[in-house]
Amino acid sequence: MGAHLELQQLAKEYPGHTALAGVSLEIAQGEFFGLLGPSGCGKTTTLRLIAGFEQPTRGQILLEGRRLDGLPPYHRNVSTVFQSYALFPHLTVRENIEFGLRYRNGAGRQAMQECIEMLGLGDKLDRFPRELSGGEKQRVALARSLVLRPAVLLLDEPLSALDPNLRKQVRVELRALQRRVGITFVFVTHDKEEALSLSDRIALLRNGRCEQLGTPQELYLHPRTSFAAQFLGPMNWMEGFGLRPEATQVSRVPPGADRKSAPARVLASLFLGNCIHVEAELDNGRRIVSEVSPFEGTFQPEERVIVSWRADDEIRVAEP
Amino acid sequence: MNARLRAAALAPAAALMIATVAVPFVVLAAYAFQTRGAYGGVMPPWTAENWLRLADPLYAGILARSFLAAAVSTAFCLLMAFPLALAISRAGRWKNLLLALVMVPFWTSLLIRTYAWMFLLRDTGLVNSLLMKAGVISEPLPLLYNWGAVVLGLVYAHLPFMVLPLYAALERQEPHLLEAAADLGARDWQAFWRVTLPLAAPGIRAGVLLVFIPCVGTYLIPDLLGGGKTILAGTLIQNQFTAARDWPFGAAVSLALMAVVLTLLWIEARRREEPLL
Repeated sequence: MGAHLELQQLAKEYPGHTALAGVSLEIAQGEFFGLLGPSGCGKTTTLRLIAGFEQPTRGQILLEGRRLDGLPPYHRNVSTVFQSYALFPHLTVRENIEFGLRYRNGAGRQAMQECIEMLGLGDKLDRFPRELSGGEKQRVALARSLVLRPAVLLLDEPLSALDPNLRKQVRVELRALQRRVGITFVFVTHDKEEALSLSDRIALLRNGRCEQLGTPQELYLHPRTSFAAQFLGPMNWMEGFGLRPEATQVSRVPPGADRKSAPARVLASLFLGNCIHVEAELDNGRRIVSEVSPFEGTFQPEERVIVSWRADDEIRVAEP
Repeated sequence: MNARLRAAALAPAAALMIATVAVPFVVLAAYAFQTRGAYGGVMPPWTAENWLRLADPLYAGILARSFLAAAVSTAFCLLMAFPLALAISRAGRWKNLLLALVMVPFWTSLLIRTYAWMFLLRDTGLVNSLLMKAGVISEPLPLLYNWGAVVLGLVYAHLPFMVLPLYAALERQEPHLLEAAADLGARDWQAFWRVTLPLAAPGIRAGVLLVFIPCVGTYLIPDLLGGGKTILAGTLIQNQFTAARDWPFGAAVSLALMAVVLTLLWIEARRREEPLL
């Protein structure tokens, strides 16, 4: 897969503050790419540099081999869905979607009709943004950008402004939409679950640098640093390696020979329905949390148990 | 708050409004349909004569000129205030200081500030003497006592009333909207035309009303800076009640002016689908 969107040593410095310290990424055509990281890691800056709202201090952005940096936003064949959606409040849904059509020689009416149908906005065209729900606003923002057939769609925290109940549903819809339109999506999120569930690949950013780049499975199962391991999910740190809570089992009888094990004492057990969180203290003094299937039965505090795991599931990071 | 307490709290303001607005309005309305007394005042018989005189080209012309002067001044205010309000709304931490500077003129009475303009603009004033000293002109320019001076004074006095509502409307605009417009392909001026300006419309309407209405009935500025040569409605009314001793006609002109202004307010209120009162 050749690079479709390429960032080369991209850096953005503000007086007294480095937002991005040289990030290089190659994003393939049609990829759903996640920029993940804590606040201040440079993920939003990266998105804004690609969109053209800010200019990089150093480095290059290439789209289909052509330099993008230096061009104003209105000359870039990319479009942004803002976190706040930034719909024009004085325009109807139809006028919002039509806004960019007069500047870009897109497919016009045809594309408009397709977008409206695809996003199910047919009965909302004459409404104003203030009359829409959060989910509807997002669909209008998506339609407004997609109607221009951009080479890359940029999404800033696409799910954060939505009702938590709606997020899971929209996540599925967004994924399906991306598959359907085949456009490269680059999105920013601080939410690991969002990044893991939506992305083909994720770049985990930290302090303006790329900490790790990989598929969701690679990042979750094989993090290369303790930061990456911990950012993507809870970890139990053992001597020289780490274990995800769901990679461990708690039992009253010794496990099979294919598993490593350690005797422990139960401290607390929390029944969550789909799993049980068992907190236990190993005999060497380390505390671990294990995520156990609810069908394994219950564990009582002070009960003696055996914690076990597969050697393959041990996570070894470059730094302790 | 119970009803009695509320009535008691409202009473002083209501009494003041009745005494200074409602009662004079009724008196004015009664005057406007009577005949002038020999030494001022009014007397029977009741007549519509005063109203017919408004159609006299002399007086209709004065009213028309008043509206024109107010419209021109309002237009200048809008053209000057918009960039200013836009700049202030985007000035970050300097916003409050700049807004305070806009309001600094209110610290001095309008009368004094208008006199200051006379000192600047008269033949021996600052502007003319500087230009003559610099050798740019040999004769003083006629800067005072003309239409230009009146409009300048009106624009100067009312500019803050345009800046403030415009600022309020512009400051509310979400900054991402302009980025979104650029993102969708609009150049800066296109984004201004299709996003900034329409969203500022409520501020523009409020500013236009706040400037136009006082300008139509203004008396002080045309009297001082126009030097009595440029008679506007305010001066006409004042004349009828003093020198001309024609109170009924003065009352009719006042009411006519008020009727036009109320009509404008009514149109504006209907636009916004709000009741006028």
